[in-house]
Amino acid sequence: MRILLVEDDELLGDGLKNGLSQQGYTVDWLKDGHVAELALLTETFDAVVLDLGLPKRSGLEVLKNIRLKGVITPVIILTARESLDDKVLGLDAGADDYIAKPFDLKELYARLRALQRRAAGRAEPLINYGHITLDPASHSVFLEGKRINISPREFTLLYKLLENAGRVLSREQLSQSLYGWDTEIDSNAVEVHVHNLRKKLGEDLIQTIRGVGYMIDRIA
Amino acid sequence: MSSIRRFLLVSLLATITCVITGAAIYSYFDITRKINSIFDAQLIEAAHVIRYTTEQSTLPQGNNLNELFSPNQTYLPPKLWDTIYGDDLHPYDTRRVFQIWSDDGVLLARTEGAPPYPLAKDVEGFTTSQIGNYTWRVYTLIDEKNHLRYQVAQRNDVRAYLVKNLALGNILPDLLIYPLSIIMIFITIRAAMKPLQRTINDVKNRALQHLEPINTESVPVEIKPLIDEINLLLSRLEESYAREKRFTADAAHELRTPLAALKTQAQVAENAHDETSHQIALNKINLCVDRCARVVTQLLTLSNLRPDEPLKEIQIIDLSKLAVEIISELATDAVHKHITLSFDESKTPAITNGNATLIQVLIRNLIDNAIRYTPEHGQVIVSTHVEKQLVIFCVEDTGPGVAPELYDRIFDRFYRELGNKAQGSGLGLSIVQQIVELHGATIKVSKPGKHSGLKIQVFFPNQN
Repeated sequence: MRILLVEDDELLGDGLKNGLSQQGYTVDWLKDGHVAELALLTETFDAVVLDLGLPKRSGLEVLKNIRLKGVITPVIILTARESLDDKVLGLDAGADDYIAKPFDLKELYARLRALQRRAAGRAEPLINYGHITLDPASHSVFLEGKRINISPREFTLLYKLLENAGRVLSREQLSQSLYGWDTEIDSNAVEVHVHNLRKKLGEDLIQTIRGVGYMIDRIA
Repeated sequence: MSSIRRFLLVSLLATITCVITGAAIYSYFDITRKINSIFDAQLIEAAHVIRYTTEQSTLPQGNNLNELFSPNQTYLPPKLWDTIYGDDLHPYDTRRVFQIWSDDGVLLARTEGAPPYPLAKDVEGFTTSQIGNYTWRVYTLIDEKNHLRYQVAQRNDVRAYLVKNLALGNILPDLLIYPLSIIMIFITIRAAMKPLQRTINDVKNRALQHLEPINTESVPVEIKPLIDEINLLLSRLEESYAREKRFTADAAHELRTPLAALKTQAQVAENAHDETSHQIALNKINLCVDRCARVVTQLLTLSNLRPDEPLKEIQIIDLSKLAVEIISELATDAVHKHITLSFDESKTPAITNGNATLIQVLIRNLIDNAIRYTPEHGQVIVSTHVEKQLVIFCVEDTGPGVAPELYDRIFDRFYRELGNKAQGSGLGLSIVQQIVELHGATIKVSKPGKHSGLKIQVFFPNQN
């Protein structure tokens, strides 16, 4: 899962990036509103963690602008003030959720999972697909009730494909999901992860659409 | 405690009591005197009337008086008495008696109640005589022509009784006025105190945080200045209350981000998979704690600087000496960032008056800020100058500087240059400005002449 973190405070941003990475998220960290807006308009993220007090362009402005331009990525805002106004303004500007500083990372993770669940149109916390069950909260995958040993990247890839079941995801989309801007991407990385997933969960789970990408078919 | 109500009550009651008592006593004695003289006049009048009546009733018929009054007949015929006084049973009957004596001392006539011996000596005019148990007021009229003596008298106790009745009757209205006045005084004072009470209630019933001015519309003119003063005080209180509230809110807000960073880094450390990232996160926790501590220290400094309180512990201060001390303290920070920190001392001593502790805070904040916001391999130049009237402390850096339109805003509490990586509290320059104001100094922000960056000059009065 690729998350855009927009936070100007060095220590908080660093902590959030590391914390989210520990959870298997791919984190891209930007420190000003203007750049964040550009990134959101040009690239695909699964969620945005947005601080409101940003240099150059405030979080609220960024929110309004991207929503006007049709970006539907779920956004969670970080507010420093307890006041109702900030929360109401944030939500009305297009945020999906808010969390007040200081917060617990566990809460942030849970809120992010909830956002993704809603974005994928699910109410259930677990994703069930045939004999496969994926638990986003514990980062675990079960095949016929038995836990499968799976790497964070493989987990993310499977999660992404399952959430978009029935849709073809391009190799580029998948690799953006797996890697932020920081990491040098091996051009074969996605193929390697898909290969591993097929070995663990069955050859026919993930379909290759030649020249386009990969997909998991909707269950008939 | 003095009470206007009690004072008014006591003084008005005392005044009214004195006035009414005085008036009553005066009118009692005045009336007594007047009635006495009226009674005396009545005695004279009665004597003449008796004389005239006696003459008229006897002489025209050529009767001798001796015939009219036989020596045995000691009482005046009731008929004659009635013609003089009528059926005299009036409550204010003066109960006069009289005697008619002949020249040679024979009692020709007397009324009932008059003794058979002379009421007084044979001298014309008023006399007072003691007859039996009673004192009599006697008027003697000598009729030389008819050789008769008339004596009209009245018992003093009867007269006193009448005088008392009349006089008391006369002062009764005065005494009735007394309770009425007291009631009126109570009512008036209560009415006069009402607007005061209303104001008191207005103040009493307001909520603790309700610092709006007291309504002066219905306030009496006499206490309006007081209410105005209280309102002034209230508005100042409200101002400082609002300032405190804003400050607390800002402070809380300002601590939220460092605390969020601290908590986040702590949780990262907790969940770190390897020793290196664990160690890195722990180091960052230390940085977070340092930052929180700095914010707290600056907040305390700022809350101790009260703009409305005069400066304490003023002494002579050598700015250059203090600058050198603080530069040596901060030198390590500069070295870590590879910043060249230098000091240009003024040729003549930079002496001013002030509070040494506060000036140290000012110098430290300015230099610390410069080091903090100047990128690595930059320069921070501290200098002191002396001009005719002024002693100048100056800090210049080669940092990114500040846009001129934001020069004023950098002194706002919690203002931080947006997008700045430096971990400031946002309070340093606000503190500097307060210290500057407390010292009657001025501060100027500008761009250094030769390079980019920020130049801050503080102008102190020259005390040399």
